[in-house]
Amino acid sequence: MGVRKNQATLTAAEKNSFVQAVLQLKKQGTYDGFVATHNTFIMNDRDTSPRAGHRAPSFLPWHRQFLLEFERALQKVDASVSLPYWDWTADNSTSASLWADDFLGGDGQPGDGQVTTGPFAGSTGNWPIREGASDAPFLTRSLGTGVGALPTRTDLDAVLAIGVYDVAPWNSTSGDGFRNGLEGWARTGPELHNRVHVWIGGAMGTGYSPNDPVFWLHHCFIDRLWADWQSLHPAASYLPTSATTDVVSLNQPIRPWNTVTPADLLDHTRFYTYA
Amino acid sequence: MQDRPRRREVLKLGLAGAAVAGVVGTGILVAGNQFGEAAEEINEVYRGRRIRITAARNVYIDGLPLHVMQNADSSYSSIIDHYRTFASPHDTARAAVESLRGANLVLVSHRGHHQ
Repeated sequence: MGVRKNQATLTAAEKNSFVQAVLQLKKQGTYDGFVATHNTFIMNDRDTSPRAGHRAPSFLPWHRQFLLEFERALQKVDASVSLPYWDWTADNSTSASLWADDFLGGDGQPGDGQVTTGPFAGSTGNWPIREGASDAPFLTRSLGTGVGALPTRTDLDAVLAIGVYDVAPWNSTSGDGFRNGLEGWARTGPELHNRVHVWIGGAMGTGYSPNDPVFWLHHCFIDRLWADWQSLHPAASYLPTSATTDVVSLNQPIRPWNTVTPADLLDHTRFYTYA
Repeated sequence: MQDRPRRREVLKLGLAGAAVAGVVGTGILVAGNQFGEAAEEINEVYRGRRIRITAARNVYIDGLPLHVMQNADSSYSSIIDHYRTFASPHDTARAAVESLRGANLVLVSHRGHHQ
């Protein structure tokens, strides 16, 4: 069973193994399938119609399964690889080692926003963007421009303290529930999960956000926070527990896989652990 | 989120709104975003890109459709800026122009696949 580590603690060899496995999935064409799946859900997950991946209680189990599928694909390339997570409350600057040349590369350049450093730079020829919202053929970023600062540990602790998993109407307007607090559809602007997408900008701000490999490290931290929340509130259940219009309840299968339910995914230690 | 003013209020504010917007528009009524949004058509050049918004609130940038979603609180998000919300289709379109940084939209079907 894999151990998912904080990316700040990875050795140079571990970083390289992760990067090489990601590049191999890109070369195989497997990677772009994940990008397209994510966007299909983004476009169809609406507040007032059936929704599974976003603005819904199943935001957390949907992404847990999405990450598991991706991690299993990585492990077919290199069995030693597990997804790392990025604690953006700690490594919160544009000069963090996350953005170094030996890992994810840095900010986009002025003008077109093209990432020009690291293994995912357009000039490497290894990271063509084939599934995107625009015709930019390269990865784009715009660190810290869409919103000035990443969420803080104080922001995070306030959300982790919420005792109820989710509340009606189970969408982007749900107030006082952990899920929407973490997903971040706040009336005051993008918070938590959403704020991180906006802070990175470029591809990460679009429906095709997995085009930026940082997507997986961001969502791995979101996944870890769900587990942390469960530890803090052991009596709290996934909600809703019974059939509810438009959303996935505890024992209903989750699209597009239709093989797992939120109940199947509640205990992440069946699949991996966090270090 | 900002409330969208009723039509009568928009008509009253329309002239001032157009002046505040400070862009070249050929729409019948172009309200600046500080006053909310009219349902009238918008046709303007913003940062060198042609924004057109139809009465049905379909948004085009340089003639290509921008996928826009209305949220339950009446705000809007687009495929280009999916994790943010905007008070109007007009704000959504301008933000998309800024985020595109010169790139063009691509056609995406309602199923989310490239056409």
